[in-house]
Amino acid sequence: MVTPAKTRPGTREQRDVSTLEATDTPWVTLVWNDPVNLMSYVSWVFRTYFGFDRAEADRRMLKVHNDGRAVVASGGREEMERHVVAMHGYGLWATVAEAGE
Amino acid sequence: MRLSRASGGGRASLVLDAEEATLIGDLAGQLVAVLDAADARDGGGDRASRRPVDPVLTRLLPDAYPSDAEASREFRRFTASELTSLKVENARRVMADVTREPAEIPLDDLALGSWLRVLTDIRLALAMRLGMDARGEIPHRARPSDEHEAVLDVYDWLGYLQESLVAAATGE
Repeated sequence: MVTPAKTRPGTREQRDVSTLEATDTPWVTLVWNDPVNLMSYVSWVFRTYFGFDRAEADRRMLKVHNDGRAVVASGGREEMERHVVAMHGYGLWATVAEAGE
Repeated sequence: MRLSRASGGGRASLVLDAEEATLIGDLAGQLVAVLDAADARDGGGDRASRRPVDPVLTRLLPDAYPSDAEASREFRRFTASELTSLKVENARRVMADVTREPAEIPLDDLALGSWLRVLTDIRLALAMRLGMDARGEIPHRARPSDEHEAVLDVYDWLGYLQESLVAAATGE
């Protein structure tokens, strides 16, 4: 059972339940390219926050740089929202999306 | 600006000259003012979910769901206040660091994390004020002003400082 974003229930508590049920359709955290953030800094954020090794962090950073965006995490909606607010804390432009969107 | 890397058990440290320290302190103070104004305006109740009007704030606290205004509003309602507080806390730490006596700023991992985030937020704010587009281009001005040129110089220097601090943070 998936609760589409447009019709999801109005309270966070209700939404949590729906999110838990939606394990078969994970959400993703996207990081978008922007002209301000340094490539070295973005890679450092990915290593520091997600615990990627250097090669993986650089690979995803380059994907952001070259493709305009990259998936950096996938899973439940609540978890993705936590990642997104953390990325905003680092000044990265991050959004939540349904996988495959 | 003089940056000493961590070596032989000693930690990294940063020494800024007086002009540089004043500049960063001023910019961090302006960042706090922008964030505080947003918090005071939007703080409390449903108003916290409003998308900020200032383009600097919409970049510092972006929409989490670009194609879903309602979901973005709800995300903002639950996260904006804490995120704003974190940004203000980091900026205040930097403001305290630049007024240290002696002027050597010790940079452990925590301090480096604060500095890197604050330099990012300041550079994002300056880029928005300069009208930088998505490709990083700044619109040509028919009559470039000294102030505009000065802001550009500051933006570039902060990028250099940040690049140096990232290198210190990653031991490169």
